[in-house]
Amino acid sequence: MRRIALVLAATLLGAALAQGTVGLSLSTLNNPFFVTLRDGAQAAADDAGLNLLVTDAQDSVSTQVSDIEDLIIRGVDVLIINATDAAAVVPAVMQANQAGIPVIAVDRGIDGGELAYYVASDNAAGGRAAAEHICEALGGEGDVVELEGIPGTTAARARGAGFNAYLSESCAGLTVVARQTANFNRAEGLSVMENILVAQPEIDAVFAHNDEMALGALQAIQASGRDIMVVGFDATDDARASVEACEMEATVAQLPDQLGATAVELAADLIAGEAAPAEVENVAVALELVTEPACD
Amino acid sequence: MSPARASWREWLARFGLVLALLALIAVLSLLSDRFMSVPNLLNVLRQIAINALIAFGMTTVILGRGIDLSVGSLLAFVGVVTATLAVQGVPAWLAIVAGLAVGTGLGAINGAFVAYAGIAPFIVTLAGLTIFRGMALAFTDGRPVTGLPPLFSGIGYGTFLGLPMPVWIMLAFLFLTHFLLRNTALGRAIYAIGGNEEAARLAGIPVRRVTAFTYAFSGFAAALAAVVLTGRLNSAQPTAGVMFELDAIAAVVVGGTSLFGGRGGVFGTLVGALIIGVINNGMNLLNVPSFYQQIVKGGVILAALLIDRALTARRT
Amino acid sequence: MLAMHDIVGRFGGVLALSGVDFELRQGEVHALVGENGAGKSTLMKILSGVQPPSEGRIVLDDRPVAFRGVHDAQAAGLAMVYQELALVPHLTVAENLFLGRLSPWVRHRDLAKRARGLLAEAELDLDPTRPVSSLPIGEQQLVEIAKALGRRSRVLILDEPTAALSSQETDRLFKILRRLREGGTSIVYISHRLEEIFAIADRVTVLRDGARVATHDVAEVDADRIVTDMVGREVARFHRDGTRRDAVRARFSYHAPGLDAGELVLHEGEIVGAAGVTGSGRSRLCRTLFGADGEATLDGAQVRSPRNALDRGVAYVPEDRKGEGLSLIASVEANLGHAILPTLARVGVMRPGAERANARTWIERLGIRPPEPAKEVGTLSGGNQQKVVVGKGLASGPRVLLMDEPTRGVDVGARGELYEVLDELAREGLSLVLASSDTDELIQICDRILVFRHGTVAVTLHAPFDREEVVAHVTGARIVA
Repeated sequence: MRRIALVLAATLLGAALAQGTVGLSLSTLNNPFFVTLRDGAQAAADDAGLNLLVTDAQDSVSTQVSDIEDLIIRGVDVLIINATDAAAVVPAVMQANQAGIPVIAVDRGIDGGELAYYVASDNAAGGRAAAEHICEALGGEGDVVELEGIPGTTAARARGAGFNAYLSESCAGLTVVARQTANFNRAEGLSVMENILVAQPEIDAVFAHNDEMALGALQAIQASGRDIMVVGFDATDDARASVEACEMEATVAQLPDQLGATAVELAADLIAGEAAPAEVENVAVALELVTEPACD
Repeated sequence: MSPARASWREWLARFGLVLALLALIAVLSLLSDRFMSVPNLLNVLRQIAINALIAFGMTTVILGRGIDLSVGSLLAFVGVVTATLAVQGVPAWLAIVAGLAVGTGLGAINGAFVAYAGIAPFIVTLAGLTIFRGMALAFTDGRPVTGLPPLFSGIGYGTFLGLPMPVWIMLAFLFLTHFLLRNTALGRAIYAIGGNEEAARLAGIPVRRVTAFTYAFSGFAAALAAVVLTGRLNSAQPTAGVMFELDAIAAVVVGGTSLFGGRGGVFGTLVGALIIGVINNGMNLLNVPSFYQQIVKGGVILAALLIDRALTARRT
Repeated sequence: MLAMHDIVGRFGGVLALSGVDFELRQGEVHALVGENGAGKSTLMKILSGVQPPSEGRIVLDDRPVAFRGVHDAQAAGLAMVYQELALVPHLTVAENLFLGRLSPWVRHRDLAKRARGLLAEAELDLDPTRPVSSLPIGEQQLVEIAKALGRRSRVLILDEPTAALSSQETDRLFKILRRLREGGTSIVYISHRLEEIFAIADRVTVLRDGARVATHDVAEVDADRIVTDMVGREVARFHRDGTRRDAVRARFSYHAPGLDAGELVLHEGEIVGAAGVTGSGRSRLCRTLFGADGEATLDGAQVRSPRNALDRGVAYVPEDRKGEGLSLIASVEANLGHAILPTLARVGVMRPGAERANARTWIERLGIRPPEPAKEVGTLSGGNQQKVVVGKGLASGPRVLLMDEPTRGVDVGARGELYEVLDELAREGLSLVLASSDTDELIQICDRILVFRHGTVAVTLHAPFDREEVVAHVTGARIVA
């Protein structure tokens, strides 16, 4: 047992010395978005000839802290963290700082410690883009339902804020008639939308904070036989297929593979000897609205 | 005590929970004019079907003084296995039968660890909760399974005599489980074990086999819920069913089944599931802001239990 | 010193006590007797503050008192020792002794020291650091009594304290009680065993149907009179002509931890007693023959499990009816059916009415009261619960019935009924093994008594028995070579 461990350690150490190792601590792989993010990161690491160690915290703050500690001990050169909670991982980041390992936050920000980069898509801008699209498609007037993500999460806050800010600033003719949480979950998106359909006789469009909820809502709308436009967020494979099939109106594409790839590329630069910025540098990854023009 | 009063009290004790549900319905009818409509009531029934199916299985486990935390994850795994088989060309009905078999088998493994290896049910099924989730994610690499044959949407959205299919499935399983618990020797054995395991053993009841059975039955129930959920979403998610175990346990306990086993039944569980379902539906109808929904839900569950206790505690 | 006047206890419309007077003098042992349901427990619950009386008053040292809870009663110096143990099994003896009075910061060495003092006072040779669950049930009872002593109580209420005790343990308890009495403590002593009342009590009050029948000086009354007061009629002591026939019904061999290898041949209609102090092997014998402990063979083939024993006509009535005999939250009919589920069902489905019919048979035959099959067993009196356990065993139609302390905590009337049923069953050919700590019981109904000592049969006695000889063998006063 001990011998195996030694051999294993030597191998890992050898790999680290040869190519440089990047640790990627993910909040969860229980979500296609992060699976795609990991795939993008892996592809970029392969291109750059880096060794990528991925951990999955399963949405547990404590698991993530120990994941990060493990990665530090395994001697990674750069640490990329997709935080489960912006505050709770700070002590772990500080440990990495002490060990002299640069830290890159991806997708979700971190409230303290020294970060080299914060790579994120602009969730608020995505919310605005969705609002703008719905506003144009409805000709500036109508009733909208907003399906919120898990209450209190950064993504739910930012997407909702961008969406509502646009409506109040530039599209006063649209009214949000119902605003309910479906916890980023498809089954809940379905049942919550069913209930809203009962409550609201007039609905022209639904904006969901992610595609899972959007697809659930779409299921409810199709069953009800009503004609309501659905816009989601994240552009998962399912949602893209749905847009192409002219079922969903649009989805805001965060580009998770781009997030992963960008973070790894920045890590590669750091390993290659580039100095980390003195203050955390925000790196915004582009968002795009995925629509299917052929549907209209 | 006069006979009339005695029967009145027994009636209250028995139907106190139903009264709590009716009170809840009355309040919601006043607050929302949409609540008391046929489409909405069908809506509620359809929505509770999945939780109720899981909770019926959970009831048998809890009656035998156990607990099954693995149901949500088991549901996810069975869902993706069934859907994957169907998508890859296995006839839909056969894929469903296979999924039910897989769920029953995994439940039986839980049961074997509890009954024959003597490990605490909480621990065994907590392990099941993470293992089955991991299996579901590994099986699909974390991605949903779509493109299902029409039989599934038939299960999720079809109707028969005006009632949605999920409701028919729920009712059929309700009566099946009720029959199992009340009218079979196996059911009596489950109550006997929950009431006093040692006495049951000394009465010659095969305690281990019966205990293992309850977990297999719970696995079957979760698998059945997986099939219905897959039909409802017209797809299968490896992430489906997170926290479903807690909703199911809540329905069982709100429905009057003792967490210490031996006392309760599935009709109570149905009422428990209805109370939870009505709360969720009502909050959506009333557009209650998300932060407050969780508070309201917990509060109403406690209130329902208090009403029930207040009515039943009068017995001497 | 303490007096209760015109106490009325009414619960949910049921009148449990209808105007009872009870008076306790300083430094006396006052026995309280009556059949199950006569109101003894209710009266004591009121005295110990568990329930308020519906009417009436309690006077302590010439001052009226009203207890709003157990705490009030304890503060006034009244302590109750329950028939059902109120110990926490996983805590140590010391922790149990001071339960409810533990300081937030438990210093174990300190606690053990105080516990040793208390145990020495009760002449209990126990390690205070042992968990209570590791003690035999008799010693647990003594811990319970030591716990009450630790509260420096002026009035001690003991409810059936010897039910689980061996005769040696009982003697030890009586020694303690006598010393307490000399020290001025007043003791209320509830028991079904009349010989104990004559051994320890100064006065005796008899309750019947919620009313006080009489209070006697023990020195001026005999057992027959007390029994007559209790049941309201003359009762003849049970007498049984032997029913043993020569045909052999069962041939057992057995061995188990704490029980040496041995053989037991049972004849048709024979009642065999197993006597001995707690831990001598008498209880273990029953469990072993039933396949629940150790190893046994019946007619040459191994008894593999309780199910196997039942299938081969051997039924068992365990000693601890709450722990092993019954599901208290289930109905009478459910409990009566538990051992015969396979025969109540056809292809796994319960035959309609079969369970109810089985229940009616045994409710009638054993006189279970109230005669309601759907009643929850936990709401029945101790004696009737015991009848349900017996009925559960008999329902399987056994040829051999093993019973461990079947009359523990059962009142005189119910006990007589049970003896009659056992006699009847023996006449029908059933063979019985009866393990009991009650010598009188064994003498009255057995054909043969096996006296166990240190896990082995020390001597076998045959009817007619000489009471003193049986007691001498059981207590070890007479060692037979």
